[in-house]
Amino acid sequence: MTRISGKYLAKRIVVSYLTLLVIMSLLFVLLRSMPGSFITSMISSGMTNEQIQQIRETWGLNEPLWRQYIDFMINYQTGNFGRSPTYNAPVADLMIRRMPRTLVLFGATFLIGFIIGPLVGMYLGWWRGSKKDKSIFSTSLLLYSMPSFWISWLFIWVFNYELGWLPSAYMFTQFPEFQWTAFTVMRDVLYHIALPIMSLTFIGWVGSMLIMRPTMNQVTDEGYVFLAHAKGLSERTVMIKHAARNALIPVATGAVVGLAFLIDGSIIIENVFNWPGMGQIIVTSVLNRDFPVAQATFFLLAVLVVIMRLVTDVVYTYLDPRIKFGEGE
Amino acid sequence: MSDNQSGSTRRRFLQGTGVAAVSASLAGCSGNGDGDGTETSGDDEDTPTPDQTPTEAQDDADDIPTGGIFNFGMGTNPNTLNALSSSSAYVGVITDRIYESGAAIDPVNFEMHPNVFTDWESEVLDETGDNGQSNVEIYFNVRTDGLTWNDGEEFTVSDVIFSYNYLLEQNPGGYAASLSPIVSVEEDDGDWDCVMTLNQPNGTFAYDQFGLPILPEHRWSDVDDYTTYEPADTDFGPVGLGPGVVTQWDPDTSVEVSFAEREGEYNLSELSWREEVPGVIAGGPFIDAMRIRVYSSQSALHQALFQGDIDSLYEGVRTSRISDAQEDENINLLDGFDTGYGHYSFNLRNTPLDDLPFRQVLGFAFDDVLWTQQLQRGYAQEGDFVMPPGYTAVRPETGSDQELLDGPSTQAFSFRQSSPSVPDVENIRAFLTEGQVITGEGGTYVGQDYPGSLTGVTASQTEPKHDYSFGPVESDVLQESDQDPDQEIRVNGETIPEINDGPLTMLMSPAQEAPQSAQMIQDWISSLQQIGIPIDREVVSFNTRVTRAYGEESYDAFSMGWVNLSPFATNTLYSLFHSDNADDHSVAETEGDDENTSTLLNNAMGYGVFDDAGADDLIDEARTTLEPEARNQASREAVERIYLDFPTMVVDYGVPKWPVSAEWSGALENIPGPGSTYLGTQIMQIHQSE
Repeated sequence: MTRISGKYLAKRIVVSYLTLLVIMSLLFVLLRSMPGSFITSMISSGMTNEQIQQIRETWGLNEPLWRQYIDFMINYQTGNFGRSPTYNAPVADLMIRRMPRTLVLFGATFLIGFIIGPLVGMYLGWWRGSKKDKSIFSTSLLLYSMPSFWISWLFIWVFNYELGWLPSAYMFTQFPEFQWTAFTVMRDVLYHIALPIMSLTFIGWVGSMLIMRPTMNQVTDEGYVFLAHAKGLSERTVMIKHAARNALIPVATGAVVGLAFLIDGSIIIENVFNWPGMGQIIVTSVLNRDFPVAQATFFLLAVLVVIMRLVTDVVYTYLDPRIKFGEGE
Repeated sequence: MSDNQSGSTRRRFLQGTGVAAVSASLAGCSGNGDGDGTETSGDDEDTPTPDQTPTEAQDDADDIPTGGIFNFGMGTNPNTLNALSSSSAYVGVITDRIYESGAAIDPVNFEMHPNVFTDWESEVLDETGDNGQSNVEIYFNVRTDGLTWNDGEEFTVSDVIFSYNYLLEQNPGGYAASLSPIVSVEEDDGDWDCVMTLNQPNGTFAYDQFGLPILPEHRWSDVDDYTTYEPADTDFGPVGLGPGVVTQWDPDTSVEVSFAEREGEYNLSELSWREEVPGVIAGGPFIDAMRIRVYSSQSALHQALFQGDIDSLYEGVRTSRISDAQEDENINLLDGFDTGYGHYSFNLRNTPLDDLPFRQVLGFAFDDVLWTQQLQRGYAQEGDFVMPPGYTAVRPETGSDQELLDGPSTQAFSFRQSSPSVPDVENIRAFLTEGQVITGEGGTYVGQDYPGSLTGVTASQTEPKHDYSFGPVESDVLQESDQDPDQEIRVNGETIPEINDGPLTMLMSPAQEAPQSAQMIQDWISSLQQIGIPIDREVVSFNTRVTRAYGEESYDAFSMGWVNLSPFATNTLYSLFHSDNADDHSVAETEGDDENTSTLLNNAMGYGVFDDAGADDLIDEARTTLEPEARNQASREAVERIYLDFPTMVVDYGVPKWPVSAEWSGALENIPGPGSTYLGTQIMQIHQSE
């Protein structure tokens, strides 16, 4: 049974679309407010004014700003992200190449973090005040205060530098001496992704645990939990099926925020682990004033968050049957 | 900026460490060589001295072990294989192994040698072009015997004609300076294969025009717009005459250039001149392949080096890790020279920076010992001329009896101190109030003897332009200064803030990006404030600094650096100090615009725009003199004129330390840019240690 009306969903999609238009406009303004122009790197001493004008013409910089804005908005909505002057390649190609790498790393981290965190939060919230709760909670707070890059360096030092067990860079073995097959690809990615995932999830689960624990504690006092106990259901069933399911709603909201933070963290983590994804390209494109790439990366990340927000609305209705979006419309 | 192993004159962007991390915005710019602020032990003995000579070559190339894969690390990815569309030095690491040019330079004597072109001859014509200069015809022969493209196609003279005409038609920005004098390149009717016509005499044509890459006609003739062409997307990859073939290409992480693929096909390394240059080994490359691994940070790059994942890295070891590298028995550190310099530059359009004695006083306040010995821990040499010490032929000391870098004529603007690290405030003030100026004549200035210029040139300005005096402190910046100066300078009776609507400002990087540089600038500003000169810092990002200095000329002083300068000086001097390359952004280039925002020329100081500060005559003479010694002499005079005119204060020359795994031998030491500018030479002769 659907709990979101078609009209409501359509309205949410329109709002999401308008949100993206606003984000695109902001990106256009903010990136052009940065000092310098990306064609600076293409201009060299000895060039005639005509040559420089030609470069400006090629990159559309001789057009008035409003014209550039309209072109930008139209192009983006038709999937034309332009061409990177730094990489001498269509921006879309770069995105297609790099986005999956980021999704693999942070998708896996996100999933693991949002499985471990709520599970631990459920347990601690259910047994709040116990010795285990106190010790695990204080330890997790300590972890939460540690910067992710520092933890990453620590893990690199231990598992790569000292023990030599795991690689600290790249997604695949460079210049492999084995044949690429589906199995070797999988094995190689797991081998390379282990250390970044360990580093990220070492502290990444704490955020969702911190949301789950108090919520879980709150629902233990709810009438439906008492009723479940009164029915004679097992402690485990009451905790998981009746209490935890309802406590998950704020966690789902937190997941969207968490995703945004993960993307934010990707800029640091991808650079620490030499992971050739979006985080790296964000840094280099901003530093090189490669506006087409910078715009596209920020835009795609915004799209990801907006879509996740939309998905969360749908997930809400399944987590809590009481929630029905657009019922009165 | 001029460059390099292939004799190319293209300008190279270098994304180095510290403040240079984002220097891709302006060709050849680097930062001031800051490390990362970590303590290291300084060791003066590690500083190469100019009399060191390159390492000797092995006697017989046949005895050199061949094979093996040389793993090379870079902190920035090579984003394309299109040599025309990119000015990145990191792209050059690959494309320079693929493309060859007409002539080659050796990094020991800086002489041009035959390469794809076997011999050449130039003739100055009677006719003159639009620029009033005599046209020049250069006749040259092309080596076709035994040369093939790396895709197996036959190389012909037609490829050369095509290459030049394609470049002239497309005019890629990175080669603009070399292409602009070329009028035509055609097949010669007489005894020579080709004839190139230039619109002016150019004594360094073998470096500038013969350094352009030769392109295969069968690959590029269908490319209508070079900017959208990506050789990596083609069936073979980039096609050239060089020893390499790109066999793996993932620009984000790894690239492999194979030399084994061309075994027996590449013979340019066997040319006889290679056997005659000390230290250079003929017959290479001796390695099977060069594998380039890309790291996202300098830390990861250095970690990979110390773990043995890579055999060497681009440029050199950062200052903070030199001691680690010295202690590592698996790593050999090769000394080298800087190919550029770090500088503070001044805007000659602004009062009182338009006056020579005032600019010279800015030099008296710079504590070079603090900078080079304490903050840079001995891994930098004191700066003086706008040519680094490795390029001796065009430095003014050459031909004099004064020592390189240490002669008294190179110390004219050194720190004047009354006690260690304390500026000689009273005598510096007196220098201004008494109307003194160092013009190139010998004398005693602020308590220090100056024997006179080395080449006999004098400064463009011989008398002070303004009247200087000192009076009560009125400027806010001085009243709030910790230095607590007792007097403030007056320029023609006015304070500087009254003239400029504020104190002078120095554009600098954030301290977290370049801690030593920030500390040095703070010390310099403090010294100037003690003297009574109202000056303050303005912390801006690298990109903002580039825009403010080169794009808008909206600055008083800024710090920056140059790399990959030409060993022949002429193009460098023209590019950085000629009035042709000084913008005036207050005048619109395009009708209807309020101001000019489109040009971004290298002479941000405006040097040469004014009658009393310029070396155009000497630079032009150097550029158009064909005879090498006369050309070098004109260059030396131009360099010293610039030194005396002081539009730029050269603060240091870096001392690169290039690491190479002990498993490899044959690399040249004590050359400029051993792991960067002349990396091509190194790759051609590196081989496995026995």
